[in-house]
Amino acid sequence: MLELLHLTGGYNGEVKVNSLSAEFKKDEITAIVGPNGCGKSTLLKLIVRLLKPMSGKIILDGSDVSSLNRKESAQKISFLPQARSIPHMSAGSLILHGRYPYLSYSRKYTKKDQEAVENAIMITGTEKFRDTPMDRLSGGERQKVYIAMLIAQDTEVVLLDEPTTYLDMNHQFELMNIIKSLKQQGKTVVIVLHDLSLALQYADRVIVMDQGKLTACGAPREICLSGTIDKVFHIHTQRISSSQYVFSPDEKNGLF
Amino acid sequence: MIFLIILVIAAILSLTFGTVTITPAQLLEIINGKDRASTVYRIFMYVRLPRTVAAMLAGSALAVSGAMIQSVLNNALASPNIIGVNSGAGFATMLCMVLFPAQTWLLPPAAFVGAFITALAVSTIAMKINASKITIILTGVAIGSILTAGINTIKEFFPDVMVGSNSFMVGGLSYVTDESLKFAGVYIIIGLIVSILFRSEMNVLSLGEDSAHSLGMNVKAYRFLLLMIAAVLAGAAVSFAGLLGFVGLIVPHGVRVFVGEDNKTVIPSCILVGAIFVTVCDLLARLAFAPFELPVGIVMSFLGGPFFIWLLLTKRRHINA
Repeated sequence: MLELLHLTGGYNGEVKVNSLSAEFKKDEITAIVGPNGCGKSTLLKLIVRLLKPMSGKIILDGSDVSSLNRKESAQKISFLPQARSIPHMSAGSLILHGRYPYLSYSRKYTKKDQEAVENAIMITGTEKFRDTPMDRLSGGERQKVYIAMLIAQDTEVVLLDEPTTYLDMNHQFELMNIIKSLKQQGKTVVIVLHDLSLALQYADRVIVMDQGKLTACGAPREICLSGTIDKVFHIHTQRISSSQYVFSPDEKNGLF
Repeated sequence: MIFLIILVIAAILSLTFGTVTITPAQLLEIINGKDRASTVYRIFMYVRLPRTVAAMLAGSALAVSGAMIQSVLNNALASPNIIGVNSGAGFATMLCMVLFPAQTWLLPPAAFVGAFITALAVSTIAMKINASKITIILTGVAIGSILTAGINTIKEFFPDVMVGSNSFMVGGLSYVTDESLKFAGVYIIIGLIVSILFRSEMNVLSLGEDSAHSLGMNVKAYRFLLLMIAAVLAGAAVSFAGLLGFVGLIVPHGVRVFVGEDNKTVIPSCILVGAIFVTVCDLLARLAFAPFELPVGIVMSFLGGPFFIWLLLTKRRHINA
C-alpha cells in the first residue's frame, strides 16, 4: 500500500500540491481527476521523486521511499509521463528498457528479464510491432508499447499520467483494459485521467483534486452522488447505469 | 566488421600514397625496421604515420562526440561544431598558444576545458529556459559565434601565433606532429573507451528525462558525464586537427541510416566510420592537387555535403530532426 502523508510540493517555490494525504491500495485502480492545473501531474512526479517534496512523506509498505536509492525505487514504482519525445528505437528495445533497474553493471539480460519482457509483450499484444521503430507506430500502438515497458519493469506501484489522451475511443478502451489487467496482477495502479467517464467507469476509487488539495475520495458511485465532481468541474453528472455516466453543462451557475 | 576492413584498407592507402609514394614492398621493409636512415623510412615515420593516426583519431573522436551530444541533448541537429563546442575548444587552443607558446602538452586539456565549458553553458541555458530542440541549437549557434569572434580576434592581434592558422580554421592535418598527437591521443583513447562503456545509458537517456529517471537513472549526473566525455573527445581532436566541422554531424547520421538507432552499435560504428571518413578525405586532400595540399576540412565539406544531401533525399525517414 502506498500512503501519502501531508505531501507538499511544486515547482520553483510555487506550491502545486498542498499538504495532501491519501492512500492507494493494492489490487485497485485509483483515478485522480481534477480541473487543469489542480496539481494532479505534480502529485505523480512527487511520488516518483522527479520533484523533491517540500514537506510530507511517501510511505510504501510501511517504509519511507526517500530511504530507497534510485534503483530500488525504480524496482518498486514505475511511471509513465505524459509528454514524451518519441525515441529513435524499435518497440522491442523500448520494452527491454523496462528491465534497466534490474541490470547489474555487466548489462546482461538474465532469463528473468527476458521472461518479464515476453510476458509484457503478451499482455499488451505488442508482438507484431516488436521490430518496428517507435516513430512509425500510431499513437495508440505507441502507448501500448510504453505500457509494456512499465509491465516489464514489474513494479508494485504503477503511476500513469493521462495515458489515454489523444487516443481514439477504441484505443482508450483497449488501453484501459490492459491497465485493468495490471490491477488483477496485484499492483497498485494510480492513474491521472482527464476523461471523467473513463475514470468513473474503470477506477475502483476516485480521488478528486482541486487547487492542490484532495477534495474527495471514494468509490466512483459515492463520488458521483456526493456532487463533488459537479462542484469542482462546474458540470452536472447523471448516472445512467452501474458504470456509465452522462455529463452536461451546469446551467445553474450560468457558465454556459 | 565491414567497417573494420574498410578502415584497414583506408589506413594502408593513406600510409602509402602522398607526394611520395611508398610501395608495398617498401612498406614491408619499413615495418621490418630495415634501413632506418632511408628517406622513405623517415617520411613514413615522421609524416605518414602520425598523419594517418591523426586522421583516424580525429575522425573517431569527433564522430563519437557528435553521436553523444545528439543523444544527450536528444537533438538530431546537435553536433560539436554546430553547438559551438568546437569553437570553444578552438578558442581555448588559440588562447593557450598565445599565453604558453611552448607548452604543447597543455593544448589538449585547454581545448577540453574550452569545449566542456561551452557544452555545459549550452545545456545549462537550454535546461534553464526549458528550451525546445530548436532553441538549444540557436543557443549553441549564439555561443559559438561569440567564440569564433574570439578566435578571430586572437588571429588579428597575434598573426604569428600559429603556422597555418588558416588550416586550423577549416581543419587540417598538415601540421600534426607526433608530439602534439601523443598527448591528445591519450585523451581520445580514454574518451572512446568510456563512451563504449556508457552506450546503454545513452539509450536510456533517449527515452526522455522523466522516463529515464523513473527507470532509476541519475539523469543529471549521466548528462553531465556524457557531455564531459563528448567535450574531451571534441577538444582533443580540435587541439591538433583544428576546427574540423562536419564529421560530428554527418557521420553519426550516416551510421544510423546503416546500422539503426541503437547506441550499442552506433557508438562503435561511429569510431570506425569517423576514422574512415577523415582518413579518406585527408588522402584525397593530399592527392587531388598534388604536390599541393588542401586542408582536409575543405575536402570533407566538398565530399560530405553532397553525401549528406543524398542521405536526406533517399533515406530521409531515418533522419529524425
